[in-house]
Amino acid sequence: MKSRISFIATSAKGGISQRNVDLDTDVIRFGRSTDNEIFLKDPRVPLHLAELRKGPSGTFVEAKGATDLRYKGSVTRSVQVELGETIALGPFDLTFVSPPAEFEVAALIELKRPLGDDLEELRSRSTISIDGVGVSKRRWSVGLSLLILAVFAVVPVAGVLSPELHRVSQEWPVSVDSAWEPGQLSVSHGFFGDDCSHCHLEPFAPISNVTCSSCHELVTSHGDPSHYTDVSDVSCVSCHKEHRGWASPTSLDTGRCINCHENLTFFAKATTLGNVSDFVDGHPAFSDAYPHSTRTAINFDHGKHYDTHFVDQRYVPFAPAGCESCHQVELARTTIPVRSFGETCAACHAEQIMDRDLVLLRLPELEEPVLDSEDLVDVCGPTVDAYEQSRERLEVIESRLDLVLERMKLGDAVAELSNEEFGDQEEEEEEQFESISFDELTSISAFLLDVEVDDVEAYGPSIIDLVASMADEGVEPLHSLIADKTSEELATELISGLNAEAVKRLACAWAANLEYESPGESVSGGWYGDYLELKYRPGGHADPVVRRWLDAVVASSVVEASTKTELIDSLREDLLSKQDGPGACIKCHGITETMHDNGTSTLAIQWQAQGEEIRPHHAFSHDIHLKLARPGASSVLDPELGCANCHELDFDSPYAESFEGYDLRGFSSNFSSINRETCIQCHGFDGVDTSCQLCHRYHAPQTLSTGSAASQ
Amino acid sequence: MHESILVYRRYLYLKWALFLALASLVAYLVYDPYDSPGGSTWLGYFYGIVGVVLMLWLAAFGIRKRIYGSGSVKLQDWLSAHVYLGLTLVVVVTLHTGFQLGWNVHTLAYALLCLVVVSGIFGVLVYIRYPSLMTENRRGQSLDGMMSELAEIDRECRDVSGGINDEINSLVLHSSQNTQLGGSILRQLYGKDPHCATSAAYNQVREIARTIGAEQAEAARALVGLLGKKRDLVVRARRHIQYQALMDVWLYIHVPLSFALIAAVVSHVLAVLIYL
Repeated sequence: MKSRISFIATSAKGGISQRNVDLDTDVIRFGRSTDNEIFLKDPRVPLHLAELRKGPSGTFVEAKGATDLRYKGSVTRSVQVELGETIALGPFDLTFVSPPAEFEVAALIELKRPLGDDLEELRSRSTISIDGVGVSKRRWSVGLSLLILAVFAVVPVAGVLSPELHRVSQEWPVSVDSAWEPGQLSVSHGFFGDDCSHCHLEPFAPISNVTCSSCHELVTSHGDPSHYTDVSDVSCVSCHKEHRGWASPTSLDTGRCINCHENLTFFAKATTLGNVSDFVDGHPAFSDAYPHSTRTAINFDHGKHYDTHFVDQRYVPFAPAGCESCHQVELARTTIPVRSFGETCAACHAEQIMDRDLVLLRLPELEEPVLDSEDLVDVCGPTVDAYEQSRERLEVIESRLDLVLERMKLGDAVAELSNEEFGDQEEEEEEQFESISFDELTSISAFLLDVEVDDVEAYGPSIIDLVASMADEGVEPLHSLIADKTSEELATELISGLNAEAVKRLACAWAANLEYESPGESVSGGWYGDYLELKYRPGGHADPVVRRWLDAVVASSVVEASTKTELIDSLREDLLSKQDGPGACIKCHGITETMHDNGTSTLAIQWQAQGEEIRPHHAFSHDIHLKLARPGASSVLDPELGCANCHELDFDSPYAESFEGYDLRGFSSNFSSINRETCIQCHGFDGVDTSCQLCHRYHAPQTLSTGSAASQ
Repeated sequence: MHESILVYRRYLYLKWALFLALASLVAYLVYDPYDSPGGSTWLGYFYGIVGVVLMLWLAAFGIRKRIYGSGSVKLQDWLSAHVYLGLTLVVVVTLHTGFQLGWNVHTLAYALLCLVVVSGIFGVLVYIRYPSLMTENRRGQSLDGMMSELAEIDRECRDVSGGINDEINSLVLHSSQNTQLGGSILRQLYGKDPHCATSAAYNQVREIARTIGAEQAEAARALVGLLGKKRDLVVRARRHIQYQALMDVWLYIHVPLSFALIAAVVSHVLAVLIYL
């Protein structure tokens, strides 16, 4: 088979050269090996790539090595030669063309896929720097910065400027406000959630006091501005810091107090307080009266009871076992509540209350009867005595009529007889009136009638009118009389429970110049008539009628209603007497005088055991201290444990004298004062709190309560 | 003679930085605010202002280093001060926070600052360690030179393998066509290619050469020698790329995070001013 294989080469400049290889052999071998008829110098070509041979059915190219042939886009091992067709032999293309004369086969072979430049290919395959990976510092920088600005600046600012966006953002999983929140809100403000606009109303402006007071009621300033530096315009947030997690905004640092109190005379020239730099080493001594600078509400002389009564064999069974017998340590807070009267004093003092009647009205000595016989019968109806008197009188008249008739039979001496025997009966009776009572008015009656207790001429007409009215109308005249001096409402309370029928019967008896005999004595307390008196017997401790009378007596409304101060003094003296009457209450319950801004003052009875706390800047927690002192395990006199750790009885104290007046101050406690050293016993140790706020409050009063706005 | 930025001018900027850090610490310990320490105290505001000024000045180094030969202060001064005052910035800003951290933009700014400084510390360390290793590794050759030599070896290998059997030829060809340097960031930082075509070709050709016929033995031995040389060169080139990547990679954290930090600080200041 005579063949011509032409090598085609294209130069870099585009020139084409051709080199012909003429062969006359049955088989033409292609390959990298030099023993091939057609030597293909390329490392990608195997030693023996393919063979071209002529067969009975045509001329074929067959693959010999591991490398396949590529023909018309597919891989094959054998291809029949056709003119114009190209077969890929590795990087070479073999194209069969029309053979020249004398040749049977002709083909062009050309290196179509040459090896590239090794260096360039290595470079193209290799990424030798981070820049080459496609990471750009600039892109990262710009991208990150824009992302952060968008999320943490643009969106929150847009939320501040646009309330609508802010409202919508509240429904997002993460609020725009939360990104700016410098710390968690305190528990008390936690319900605001992530909505900053609750407090931060205006951008670039601090929270104003108005914002705080929209929920918190007005808080008084720290001190009296007329004496001290006015701190009322100090911003709330300058002291009360939020966004400190669970720390309360009311928890302040001691340094904030020390800042002024270390040199207090500079800020408050009129102050009598000492400078404070530290509790242990730089705090003034406590007052000699601390903590009992004000009188207790109840006049209970601990010293006298322990020294005298509780050692008396008669009362030993009723003596308390310890402080907790009378003080409710389980309810201890700033103070320790006292147990009820029934739990404490009643065992010895209950009966003393029941014995003290309040005498509202006493029939005094009168110079004339309250009602004449006819009026008495009209008002009160016939009484047994009146019937008896009428019958006796009728018998006298009958006997005298008989005598007249007898005289008429004898001549004209009737007129003389008549004058002698019948005369003026009424004048005779008037001359014969003798009052059943020789007593004076009660001070209450005198006060109500505005008369002297012993001035018969003055009180006579008034009391006669009153009794007569009572006989006719019952309670109403009495109510009106009291209401004139007080008020309708108070009058109703003062005679609460007074029975109208009983009053009528009492008044009728008095109108008939008789003593009233009550059908039965009051056992459980209440109003009752007793001979010449209308009385009230207390039902027990805290009887409401007696309390109201005593309150009324000391109240200013009563005082102002009368112009006769001696009557008021007498009334007070009688009702508030610790010896007689209902004034037994005052033996234990103190009376305090409260001065008002207009210069007036009012008195009030301290019915509740706990007196007013007048230390607005001071705080103390008994309950915490009691847990340390274990009061349940000790007696008040136990010097080692219990209340006596701090409270020491002072048997020589003139305690009772403190209750002689109405002033709460100037009190002599039953207990020795507590001094700073007592506290330092524990608070002097490292780690034990000595911050100002532990014992003192900034605001006076110390409340920062939420008002109605907060509930909305 | 080259003077390290760390000892530059007899630690002048280290002394400045130490002074600033100690002064800040002493002020923090001495100052007893009414409330817990933090950015809202007077000292906290002072720390914040100092921190922002320092941060902007440190960021300006990126501009200064691109302006060659400008300014009265040498670039070495800038760099030395950049390193030491950058470290001090952590102290100042930490005191500014008062150790009050949370999930918010304020703590984000602090966290970014820490990351920037940590990446900067890494940068200083690699700049101290790797230049000498690179010099040693290069043996006077540049990476370009190494790659040119690799291409030359490839050509020689193909020449030699042309007369040897197809298996070896194929391995040589595969080696020259598939050996690559560097690659992804991780590959560059790793400095090795577990599937290196050159190493594979070297090992396999060496095995085949043991059993090859006498007529091809000489060529095979020559080929093993060439592939061994190529393999060593590839290892050195990869190590060079690794060192270079280590010296570069921290900047891809340091610079973007620095910009992010500035953005976060802007947000932080904005938040503080708006919600006074």
